[in-house]
Amino acid sequence: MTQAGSTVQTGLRPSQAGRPSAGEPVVVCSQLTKTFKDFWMRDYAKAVQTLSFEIRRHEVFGLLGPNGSGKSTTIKMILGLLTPSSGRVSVFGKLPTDVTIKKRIGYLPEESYLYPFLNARETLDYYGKLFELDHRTRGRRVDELLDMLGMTGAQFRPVREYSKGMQRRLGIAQALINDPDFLILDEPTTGLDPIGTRQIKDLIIELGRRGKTILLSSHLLSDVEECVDRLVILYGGTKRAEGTCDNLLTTQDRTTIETDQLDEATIAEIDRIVQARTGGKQSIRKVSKPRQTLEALFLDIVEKAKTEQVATSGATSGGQTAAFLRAGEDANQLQGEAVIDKLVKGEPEPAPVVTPAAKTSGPASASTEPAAPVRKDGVNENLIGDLISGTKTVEAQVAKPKPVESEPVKTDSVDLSVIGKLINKSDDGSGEAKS
Amino acid sequence: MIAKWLSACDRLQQSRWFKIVASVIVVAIAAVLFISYSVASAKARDAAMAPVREAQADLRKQAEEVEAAAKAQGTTLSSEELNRPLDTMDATARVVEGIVSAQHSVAGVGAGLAIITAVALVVIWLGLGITYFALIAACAIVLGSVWGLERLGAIRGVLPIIMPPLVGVVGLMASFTALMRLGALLLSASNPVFSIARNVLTEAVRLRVSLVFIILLMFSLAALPLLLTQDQPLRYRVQAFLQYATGGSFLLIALLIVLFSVATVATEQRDKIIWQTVTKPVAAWQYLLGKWIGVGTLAAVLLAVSSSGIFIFTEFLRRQPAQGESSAFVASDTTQMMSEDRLMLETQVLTSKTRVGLSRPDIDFEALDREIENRVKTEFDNLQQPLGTTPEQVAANREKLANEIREGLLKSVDEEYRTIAPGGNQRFWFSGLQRARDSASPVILRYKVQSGGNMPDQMYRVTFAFPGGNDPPAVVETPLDQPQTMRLSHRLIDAEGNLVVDIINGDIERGTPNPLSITFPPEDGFELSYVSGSFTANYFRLMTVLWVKLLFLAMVGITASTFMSFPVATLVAIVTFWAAEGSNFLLKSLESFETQTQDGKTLWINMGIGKIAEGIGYTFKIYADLRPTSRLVEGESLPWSTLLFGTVVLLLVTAILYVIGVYIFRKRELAIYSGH
Repeated sequence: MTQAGSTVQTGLRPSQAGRPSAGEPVVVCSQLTKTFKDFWMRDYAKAVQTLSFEIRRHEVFGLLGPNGSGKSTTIKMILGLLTPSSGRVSVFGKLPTDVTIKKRIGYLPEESYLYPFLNARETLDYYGKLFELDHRTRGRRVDELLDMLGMTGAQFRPVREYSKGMQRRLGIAQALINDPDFLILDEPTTGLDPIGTRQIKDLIIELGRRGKTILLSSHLLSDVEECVDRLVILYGGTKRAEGTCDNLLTTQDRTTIETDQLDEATIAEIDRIVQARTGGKQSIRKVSKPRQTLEALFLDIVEKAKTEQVATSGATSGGQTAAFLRAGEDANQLQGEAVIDKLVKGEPEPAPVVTPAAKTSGPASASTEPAAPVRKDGVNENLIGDLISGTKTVEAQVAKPKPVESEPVKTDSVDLSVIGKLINKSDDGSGEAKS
Repeated sequence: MIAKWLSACDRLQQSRWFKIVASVIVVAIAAVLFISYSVASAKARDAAMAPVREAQADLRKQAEEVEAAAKAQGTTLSSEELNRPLDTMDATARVVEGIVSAQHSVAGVGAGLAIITAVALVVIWLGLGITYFALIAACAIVLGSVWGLERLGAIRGVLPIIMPPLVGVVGLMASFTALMRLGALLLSASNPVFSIARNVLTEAVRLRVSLVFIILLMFSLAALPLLLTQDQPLRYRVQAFLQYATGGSFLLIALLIVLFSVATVATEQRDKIIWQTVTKPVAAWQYLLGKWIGVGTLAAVLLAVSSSGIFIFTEFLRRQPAQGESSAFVASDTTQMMSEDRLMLETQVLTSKTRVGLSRPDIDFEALDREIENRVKTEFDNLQQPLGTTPEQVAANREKLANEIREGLLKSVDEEYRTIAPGGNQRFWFSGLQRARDSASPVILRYKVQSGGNMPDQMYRVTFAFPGGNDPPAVVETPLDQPQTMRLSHRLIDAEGNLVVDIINGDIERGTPNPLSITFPPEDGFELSYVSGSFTANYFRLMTVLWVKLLFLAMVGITASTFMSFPVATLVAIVTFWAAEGSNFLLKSLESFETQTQDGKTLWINMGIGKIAEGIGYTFKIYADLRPTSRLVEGESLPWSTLLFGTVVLLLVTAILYVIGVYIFRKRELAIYSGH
């Protein structure tokens, strides 16, 4: 680096920090295909087609796709709940139907299918016994999990009386009862309130940090973006993209320059040089590496797939909400806000797990944002603010391009050699300072 | 709110400290009661002995005075003369003390108190202390209130009506709760099979449908005694109770088991709860075995509770006065040792008797074959058209005809053998009675006489002679078409275990024959029976059979639900249950099921139905032949060998069903289910 004080974002995700290095694959899917047949054994839906990917040890792996893209089907084949029509899947080097590997797996289905007549404690005790955990270990883990998920007060109520969010929490608890090496989470935040969602994300990050291998399936992009190391995007049962978040989200033909704070004159001077060098065709837009959002990438892929007329047995983009449902839209919106307000204004909520990761609201905030105030219950105040406003601004503030000043900039105060070096460096193809 | 409160109570009664505190309290109460009783009985004993002691003291004083008076007069009395009244008094005092001590014995009360305390401690450590306390308290409050209202004159005669069913229901519920808790404790090991089994028990109690069945069973059993007619002979009351209570409770339990075994597997698949279980280290065999053990334990608990209730009430009925008794077991007619009703009850119903049927007559089979051949030839000669177009068809029809003739002839021979012309006589053999002879058990001859139109007001006099004994022939006046019994001595059985009866159609003493021929039909038994074991042991064996049947039905339900939705699997399981229960009836019905027209044409549809029904009938024949309920009602023994054979066969079939279920389950894609 030639510019003093400038920094380069490494793109290291919170879940990767201090993590054991990735090793042999936990899951190997090779040319995996699943076709559902009707009563007469005729094909009626191709849920997954020639899907290949690996999940390496100690990584948080995302499985992304719209509804019906084959995420859950893939997970069910990994778990042995479905048999592939063709292709091969192995988990810990064995077939998914092998009972021995299941001691190392924790699974949360897309809905928490629980015994309605048991209470939370009995549920966890039951699943603990299936793993042959001894009485003492079982009791300790049940207590800890109930405490972690804020369910201690409701542990003796039958599950059928639980709200969907509470059932989800219990579902997560049962998936963790065996302290699994490989955790499969299918839409883990469905039905959870914003704080519960935050807790689960923090939990995933923390588990990833502790070396667990996690398969996270979701169509909620923010869930995945925050937590995963690598991901696969599915549409219509086929793989549309695969890679790390950075690979997929970084725009390679742009450059972000980070320095200590520059005054406006310096920036104007740099801009003037850029304009001078390019004959007024180019100018500085922003001084940070631009980043495409995951959502944009996702939508782009889906749109592209649509234009290619890829068949899908799942849902496609819907139209307007039906008239009878839109009738009470305003009222519903107000109600929703009231609920969020209630959640935020100190309604008794379970204490979240305060982890190092929980103190950061996102990967981009690690180095540029001042430490966010943390409430007594461990919830990040900035995050709450973001939730209330309905937008997620923490990353956006960092990445937001600084508006170009309209007034003329002075050229005499600019060190042209610095700019020249920067421009030359961009020519070597590293992409570090390309504008 | 109530549920929350109940849940809190349940947790409390299962907590360790509660158990310790409750145990200490119970033991302390028992100790206080025992000490109080000991003190009170010592006082009572002293009070009872006080007059004797006073009398002893008075006598002693009198003796001293007599001695002093004698000394004053200068005479000497021998010590024997002086002490004789005292010795007599002392001996009397010892006898009285013995009686008083026996009356106020603390040993019996102590033993009783110890047993009650032990039961209470078991209940407390099963985690049911508060439940039992609440049940007993509720029962006491209801009965106390009714008693109070009766004392006040507000109601009258209600207490004797409500007390037995109320106590019965409370007793049954208490037993059920304790046994379920015991079952759960036995299945508390931390492994998949037991864990799944235990979960099934929890599911059974907490799901409303099964709970309704269980409550219905308890109330039905408790209310059944109210339906018994008091003016019937005791044996009929006992038989009616055994029939309805055992048959009814088995039917209810069987339906519950069938429905529940299907529901516990099928609804888990439908609601996808099974995903959570099979993605844990649980193999298909463990899952299905766990389910089966759970349902089997539930069946065992329900059967144990209902059969204990039935047994206790049967023993209660047994101790009621029978017809012809002034009090229980005391005949009104002092010349008889036992009333007829009591005799029948003890030897035909509340017993374990072995039945021996009439031996078939010696048949000259060569002559029979000749006769059959002749008749077939005659039939063929008289045929208007040949029976079939090909030689094979003709041969097959010929063989079929020969079989029909054989069956007809054998039936005619049997009827002829059992029929006696007016004034004629017939000798009948019963064999296989060595055990009765060795055990010197009395033998009961059961028979029914039919004649002409079986006029109900007509009485026949029939003579029974026993060549094996020295007694003169017995002439019996018997109504027609009514089952009768006759008590015979085991000495009539010869060394080979045969008993021979000569029956004369008439009164040999008067020399008067009956007006028409008499027949002893095979229905309702022309048979001998003898007591070959106790009612209790037989009852236990029969209940074991019922349990084995329930285990089999549970596996039918579980296997069916591995690949069928709840309604279809339920239908299959219930049809299997009915087919198994009615297979003997099915086979009997098939005897008169036509598969051919009069002119020899085959009715193919009927033939198909007949073959299917025959297959079903023979498949479940062993199941049906066990006949636990009818054996119980008729006091018929179920030999250990039959029990063992039936159990092995049924468990073998159960094991085959289990293997099929496991195979299907392993092949199934559990994430695809069409049960909605």
